[in-house]
Amino acid sequence: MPPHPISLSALLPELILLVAGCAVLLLGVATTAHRRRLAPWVTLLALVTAVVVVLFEVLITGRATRPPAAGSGLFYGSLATFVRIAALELGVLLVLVNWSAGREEERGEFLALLLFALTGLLLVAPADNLWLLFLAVELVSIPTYVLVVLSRSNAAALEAGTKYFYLGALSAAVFAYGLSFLYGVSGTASLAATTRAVVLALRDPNSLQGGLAMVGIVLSLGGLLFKIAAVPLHFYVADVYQGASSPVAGLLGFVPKLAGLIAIFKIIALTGFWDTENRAVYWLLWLLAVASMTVGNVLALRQTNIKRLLAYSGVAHAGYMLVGVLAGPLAGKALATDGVSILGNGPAAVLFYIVIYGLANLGAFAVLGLLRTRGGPCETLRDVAGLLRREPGLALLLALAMFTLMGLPPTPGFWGKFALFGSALTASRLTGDTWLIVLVIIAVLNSALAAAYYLRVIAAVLLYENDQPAYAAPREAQSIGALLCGFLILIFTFYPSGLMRAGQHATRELSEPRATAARTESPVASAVDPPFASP
Amino acid sequence: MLLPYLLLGAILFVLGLIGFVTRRNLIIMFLCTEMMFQGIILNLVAFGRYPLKGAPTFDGQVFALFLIAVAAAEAALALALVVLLYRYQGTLDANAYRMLKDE
Repeated sequence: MPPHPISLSALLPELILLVAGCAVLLLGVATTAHRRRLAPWVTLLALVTAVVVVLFEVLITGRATRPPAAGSGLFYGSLATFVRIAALELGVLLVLVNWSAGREEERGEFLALLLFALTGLLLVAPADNLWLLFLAVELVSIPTYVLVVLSRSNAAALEAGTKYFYLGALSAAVFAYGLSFLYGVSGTASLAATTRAVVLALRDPNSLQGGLAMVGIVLSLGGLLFKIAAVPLHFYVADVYQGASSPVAGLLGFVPKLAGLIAIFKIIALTGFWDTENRAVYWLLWLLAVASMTVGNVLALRQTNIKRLLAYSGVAHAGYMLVGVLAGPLAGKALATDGVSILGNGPAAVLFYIVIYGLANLGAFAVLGLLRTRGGPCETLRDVAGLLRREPGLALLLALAMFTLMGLPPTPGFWGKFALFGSALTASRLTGDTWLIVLVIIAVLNSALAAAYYLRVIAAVLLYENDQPAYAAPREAQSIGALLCGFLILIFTFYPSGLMRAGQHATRELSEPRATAARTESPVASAVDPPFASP
Repeated sequence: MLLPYLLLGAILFVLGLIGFVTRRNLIIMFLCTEMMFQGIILNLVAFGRYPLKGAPTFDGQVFALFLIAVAAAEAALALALVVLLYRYQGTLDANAYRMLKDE
């Protein structure tokens, strides 16, 4: 049976972003200034159109999942829909917050690269093929390196971008090396066939195939840890956040992290970890989660620069998210017979948490990006001291973002942590695994430790006096972006169940991953004649 | 016939990794990541030609081509960064760029 190709209309949102990216790139070299000023509007229009297209598909035609496209390497399921909606809506906020980022004459490139990175993010979730997964992750990464460099025209941004690029290239190589072993074990690039081969190989760890599969899994996870900034690949993160402009630092907290997490879901699903209790992968993730939380929080405690503080707190948040990855969707499947309980569905909690974290992080950086002090950007605790008297709205917004990151009870940050840790506890009850309880205890202690530095920022903003307080730059688009972040955080404070249900729906294909196996069975290569005679 | 190729690929990858960690010149460091990519490409082509089971497929060779394209994109970016950095400080020693650090 020849593989029938996926229809182009399934790729409409990605194509809109890609075409708009090229259009914006051309607008950037327009000779008249008013045409160049169109670039952000075109970017915004493209993102809004793409959101409308996706929502139309989901709500009107009622088809969240596309018909199967065997061998095309893309599988549009509920996870892809969730990532599309989350990425495009945060993309709108990112464009608003980055409205006047970069130098005036460089705006075309900047926004085009933002669109290309978002296109990559949209392609990570449907990727059903090892190579497409790698290419989508790289399509997210390479533009973000350039975005960091372009975000400010000074040596600090250049140094930050160079560090980010070099370590990124290294981690991409490690990721690709891991994928090459996984391909070697399975002999085909399709994820479904690779899962079967890897699960089979891992049953016998002493065989050549078992060894190669283990090496492949560890290397590809290692490469992806860089993307979510987890220990041991966390050391670059503070320098990059400090050197990049604040709005771009807000982007780094969401776009590469979501791409990395989805790719980690896919790599872990390859091992059949959530079905077969693979102990080696379990301990690897357990140790990484503990190390990320603890190292991130301890390093953040020492910082006086808020951008560095948020960078290290991002490392800790990556650790919390790994708790949810570890808990897995299994427990949720056993519990959620009514279909609404999120307690016990780790990946759903992770998806909820990454959206909330991305929003709060972007909100905090958007406020920092708006503030000026003594003519320069506002970065340290001393700079934001006494903000409440001068700019009460922005001060409250920054405090709200910090409370959300801290996980104070009514904020959605609390609901996210509740879901993450609850899923781990449910999983431990179902499997009788006490080490998951230890992990949750460490995570809760870490959350308490993290409160110390978040409260330092909040106290500086709300309580301290300052004779030269920071003031807001008059920028409408960024103010609107920052306000929308705060508004969405408030919505999810009072109505978290909508997002949670969406996350739960999205992870259904992870807990029953091989329902898709039969459809994605025929890889491209098996349909053609074998290229070589068997040696 | 598979193992010698895997071994050579691993040697290239590890040599690149060691070079990346020990060398401080930014161009040499980038060439080291290129060497790691060459090791990966060798790995892929070897697995495509001599599969562990079943008939050989083209998947490995296809990815090798894509990887060459990705490596070329990264090379373009690396050289642009190197030129910009040289304009700022007149050196390509990675240790010379320490503006960003913990207080």
